[in-house]
Amino acid sequence: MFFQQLLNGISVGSMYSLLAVGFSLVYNILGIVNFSHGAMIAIGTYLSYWCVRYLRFPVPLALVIAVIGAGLASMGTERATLRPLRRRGQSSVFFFIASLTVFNLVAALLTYISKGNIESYPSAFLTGSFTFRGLMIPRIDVVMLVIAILSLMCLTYVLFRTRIGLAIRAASYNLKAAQLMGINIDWVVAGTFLMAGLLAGIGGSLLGVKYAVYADIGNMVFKAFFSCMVGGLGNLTGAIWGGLLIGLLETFTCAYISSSVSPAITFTVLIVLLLLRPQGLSGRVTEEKI
Amino acid sequence: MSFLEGVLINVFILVIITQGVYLLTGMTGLFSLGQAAFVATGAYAAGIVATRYQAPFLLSLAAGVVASVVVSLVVGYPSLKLRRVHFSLATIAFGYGIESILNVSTGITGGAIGLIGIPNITRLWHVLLAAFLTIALVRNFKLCRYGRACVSTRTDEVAAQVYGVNAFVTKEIVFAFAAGISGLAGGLLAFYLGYLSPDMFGIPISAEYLIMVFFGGLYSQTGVILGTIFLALLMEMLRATAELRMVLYCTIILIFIIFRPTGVFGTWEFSRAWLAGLSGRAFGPGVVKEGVKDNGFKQA
Repeated sequence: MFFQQLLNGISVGSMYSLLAVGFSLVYNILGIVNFSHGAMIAIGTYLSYWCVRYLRFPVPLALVIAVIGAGLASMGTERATLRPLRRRGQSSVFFFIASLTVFNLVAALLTYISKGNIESYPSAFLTGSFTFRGLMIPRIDVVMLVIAILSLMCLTYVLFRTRIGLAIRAASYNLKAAQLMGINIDWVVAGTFLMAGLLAGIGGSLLGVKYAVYADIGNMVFKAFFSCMVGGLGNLTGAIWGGLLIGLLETFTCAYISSSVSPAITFTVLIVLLLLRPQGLSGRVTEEKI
Repeated sequence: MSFLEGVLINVFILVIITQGVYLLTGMTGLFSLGQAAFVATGAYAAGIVATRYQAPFLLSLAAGVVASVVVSLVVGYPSLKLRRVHFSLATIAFGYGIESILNVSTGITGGAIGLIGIPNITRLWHVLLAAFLTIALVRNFKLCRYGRACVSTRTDEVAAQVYGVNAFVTKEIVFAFAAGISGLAGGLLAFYLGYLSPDMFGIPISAEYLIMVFFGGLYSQTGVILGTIFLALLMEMLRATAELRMVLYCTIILIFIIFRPTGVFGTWEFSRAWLAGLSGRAFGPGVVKEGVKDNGFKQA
């Protein structure tokens, strides 16, 4: 029982980590809380579901399509909302509100299309399980964990071994200085949103397979926000730990206490944690600039 | 009660709530995603007092306000000491917390089924009176020293502290004030609907309040009032399009935010000086053009 819950928590937590890393990427560069990330999660979930359900695609292909779709949607959102605001030198809070509206818009659109139904995948491709030393291990948990590790490795490669990664890291240290060094900021921001969208697509589509497909799945973005903050502001490794922590807390409170009070307990623990360590788990203290 | 009266009651309850959000976000620069939870606290407190102890209308409303203020002090004391982003997080946590408490405590709040049997007392004039009082209070608060302290905390917290403003106490006062306003609106809502359920007060609802405030103009009280009335009426008018209405509603707001991010009214404020200026009389040294040039939000 305990080990099964542990595995469950880690695999769900790894998905939250992906969502949190995507959230954190955008936060690092522009210092904005990007709630349209939740819309991308929902888009990923629904795209893969529709591909399996109506087009009868195999699940892996559907996942790939969903991930690419969410990435492009994220880039499109940036192009349509953030860029006009940034061009006119508006403050970032307005993007916060615009992203919140995009989030609401996509949720409303998906509620309209799905007629508010909660659906689940028709095929049993990922829903089976196998037994290992007396433990029943759901296949989806293993798949989630493996995909999460692979995508984080890809992300590390892109961030630390490519030109765009270098540009993104430079921009997250100091946007203005990076611009003065000849980095095309529009390009960097678009790339960051693309990466955030891809990660949201992976997380969203797999969480849809594991749980269910419903229009409000974008609310996962609040958990991503939490993971990002608990792990430490502007710190990608911290976001990964934060995601794992939330996944574990949630699974264990659901299993041992009650699923209806689980969010309350989880978030209370996190807030207490933030009160004790305002700089986050990773412990890098960022001085407030005056 | 006619249909029109019902619509107007809804509209003006929203006006009251967004006045609270304006205090928090527009004046002090705090983003609360748990404001709906304060409405829920007020509504449930008023409803429970009324159904269980047969308390009269006004006393129940007062109970709602007091409950919200007390809860806000408990939530605000630790969370307002944190960074602004962390405060927003804490309000999200609070929103989730209230929702699950309401769902779990079946004996007191009726759980997920909801609290039923609250008498239908609220009439339009109650709501109009409450809205008028709230608007007047908020306007005076804005002009007195506490309001100025709020604006200075938003623009630059460190500078405000250097000049002797206690940023924490200022934020605590404004948070409690906004919660009290939300509690009042919640009480009126409870006595209007006669029925409450936890899913009426989720985090998306709080997000909607924020969007309403931004739509009218974050830094303008007039803008917030008129923007809320416009959006609430728009929602009613779109009822004809049935399920598409949320989609249309969000699209309209999004277009506005992209093309006019400072809101429809910007920093414009309705005032006697403006009226006088309109008739071409008072353009002189006595007329001070009010307006906040710096929007006060630094890019991190």
